[in-house]
Amino acid sequence: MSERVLSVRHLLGIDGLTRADAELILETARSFHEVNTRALKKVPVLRGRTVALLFFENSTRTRLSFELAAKRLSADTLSFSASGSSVSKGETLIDTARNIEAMGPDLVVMRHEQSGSHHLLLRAMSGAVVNAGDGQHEHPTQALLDAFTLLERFGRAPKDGLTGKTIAIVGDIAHSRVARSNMLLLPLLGAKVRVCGPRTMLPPGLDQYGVEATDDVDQALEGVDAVMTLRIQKERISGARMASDRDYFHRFGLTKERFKRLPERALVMHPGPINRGVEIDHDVADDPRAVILEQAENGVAVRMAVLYLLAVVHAKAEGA
Amino acid sequence: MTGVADLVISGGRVVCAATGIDRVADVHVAGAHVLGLHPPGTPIPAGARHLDARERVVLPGLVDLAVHLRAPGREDDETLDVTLAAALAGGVTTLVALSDTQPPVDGADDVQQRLAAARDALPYGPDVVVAGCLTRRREGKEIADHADMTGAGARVLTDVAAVADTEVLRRALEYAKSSGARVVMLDPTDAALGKGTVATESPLSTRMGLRAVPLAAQAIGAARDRALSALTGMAVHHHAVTTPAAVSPAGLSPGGAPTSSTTMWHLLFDEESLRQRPYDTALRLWPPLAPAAERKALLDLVRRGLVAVSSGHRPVPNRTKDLEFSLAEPGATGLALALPLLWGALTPIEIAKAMSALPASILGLTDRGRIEPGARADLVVVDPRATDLVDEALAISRSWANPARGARTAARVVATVAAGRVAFQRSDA
Repeated sequence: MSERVLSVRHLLGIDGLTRADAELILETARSFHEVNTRALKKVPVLRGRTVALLFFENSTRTRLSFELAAKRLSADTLSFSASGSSVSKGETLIDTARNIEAMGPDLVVMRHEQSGSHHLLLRAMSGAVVNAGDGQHEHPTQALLDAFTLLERFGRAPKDGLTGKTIAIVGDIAHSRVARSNMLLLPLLGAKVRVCGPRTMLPPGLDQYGVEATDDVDQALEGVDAVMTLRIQKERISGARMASDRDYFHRFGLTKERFKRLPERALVMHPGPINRGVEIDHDVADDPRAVILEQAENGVAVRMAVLYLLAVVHAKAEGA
Repeated sequence: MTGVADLVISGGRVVCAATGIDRVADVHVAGAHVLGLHPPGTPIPAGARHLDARERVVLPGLVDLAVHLRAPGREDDETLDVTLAAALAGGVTTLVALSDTQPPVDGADDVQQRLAAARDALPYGPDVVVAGCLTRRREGKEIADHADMTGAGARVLTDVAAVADTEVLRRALEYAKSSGARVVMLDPTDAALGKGTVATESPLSTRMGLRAVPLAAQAIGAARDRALSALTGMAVHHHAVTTPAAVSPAGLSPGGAPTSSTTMWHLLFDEESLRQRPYDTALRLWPPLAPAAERKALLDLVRRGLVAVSSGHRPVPNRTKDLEFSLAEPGATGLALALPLLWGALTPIEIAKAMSALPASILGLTDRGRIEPGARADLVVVDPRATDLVDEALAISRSWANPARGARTAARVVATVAAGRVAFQRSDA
């Protein structure tokens, strides 16, 4: 049996992944998900390897999720957290990266507030680079864990994809890296995707993703299999993009009334952290059909899969 | 003109957009001026210096409308002698030194200092046209000392960046009108729409997650400035145009519609390069690179002689370039590269128009931008068959980041004559 490997050496985004890559990550995540249900939640596949976690932007859940993923694979971890731009700290990203590289990590996970900063990181790193969120660009492991959660709930194998399913993404599409990664991954897996938000939050060129865009939330939610509400990220919004939280909630939020009109089967997703009463009603967020905590749980398995598969690609490249 | 030539450039194809000349001729120069054009083979006066230009093209020296000096204030990035040497190596014989130095060109003493520094840095260098601030310290709040500066030799007024406050701009243009300044140079991009942006709004900026400015920002600013130019009677030039939507239709306002220029980089590169080289900060420019259709349409306006082309020379050191895309300093070095890289994209006569005749007329410099008896002997000799690698040596500047790094030029400047002197000559030519 020939071992399947990823076609990429780094995970900088969903952009550049093939359907086969996505299926491979999701299938591998299934195996690791099973590991995560055991009493002894640890496998020795990355023993002796080092995973560096560079978080240049505040993050709790993604950093913890990657850290746990690395530890469950038996890797050693190096952790670096700094908020604010590298420039304001006086050291450039490339200098920080070179210092980390000197410690010889095999895998480097980075979150950074600037879109595309991983391209700069690649210049300093010999190991595999994983994007844990870059500015408004991409957050590929979030999209993968979203897809994983959907497949699990729909009882589908990764190879069957999401064909026939309709997923609505509602919120600030313009500033969202989660939306960008999902707009690439969900259609790649065969899903029909609708994106919805105020026109101020719908950026130009959405048709390049093969998604439908609308500013009518009721139309967007009609007959959906899942709705993904995005966090309104005030820290990324500049200028006049929205009115009050209340106005937004009434026009675009997942209110109790809108939730009641959703099909029975429809799931509610949110990448977290939640602004209750802004993008989602307080009680809806706690409804059994809200799979928000499952998303967080599945994130560990998906990140284990990504780290493991990239380590395999690099081991092959080094052996060649 | 009478007299005896002391310099003869013989046998070249002489191309001049202002006079419509495109023929093989000998150019005779006496002192700082062109004496005349003669049929090839005309005897060369005894004692005259001789440049053999056979198989080469002779153009009027280039007039560069937008050069960002790094001296004073940022000499570590580029000293003035290097800027001026790069100009000559690129065939530039007149350049506008923009006001955005540190400190900016804000008064008569600043103007005098820039002119003296240029003479000291390179005694027979390009003619430096000093641009003073339109508003004090380029802050967009108070009117700068226009008349003091023009009295000291400033010819242009500019804040380089757009003036956000329309009332301030209106009054500054009115004040500038009788100051003796020839033209006010403005960035047409609406300040509020352009603030903090690093890309042109398009499907690609969405894909890359970059803060983007819509192309409409230039049309909006250009329309405002055009109306203010008509209201105040002051001549306006837009120096950072990347879309035809910002180019004013000629003949709308009594004083003449604003003129426009773009930079070499915006004619040669567009966002397709950014798609192929994602987040490459060599492509981080101001204004940001536009979609391909805009670039092609702008190139067409340049070909028709409606838009001038500058180098947009803006040297950025690796220190501020090797950063995250949005944090990197915008700019590229270009003085020595403009003509060699644009060769082929533009014909010789189009180059003579867009990079010499038109910018000279925008600056009101009637003695240059043309090759005819009595004109300033500013000439550039180009070898259209030689090419060079775009590297640090060719770019000359130590801050040589630019989008064409590693590419090859389509031609080579072999000699530059500035005010009658052979100011630059390639040793291997």
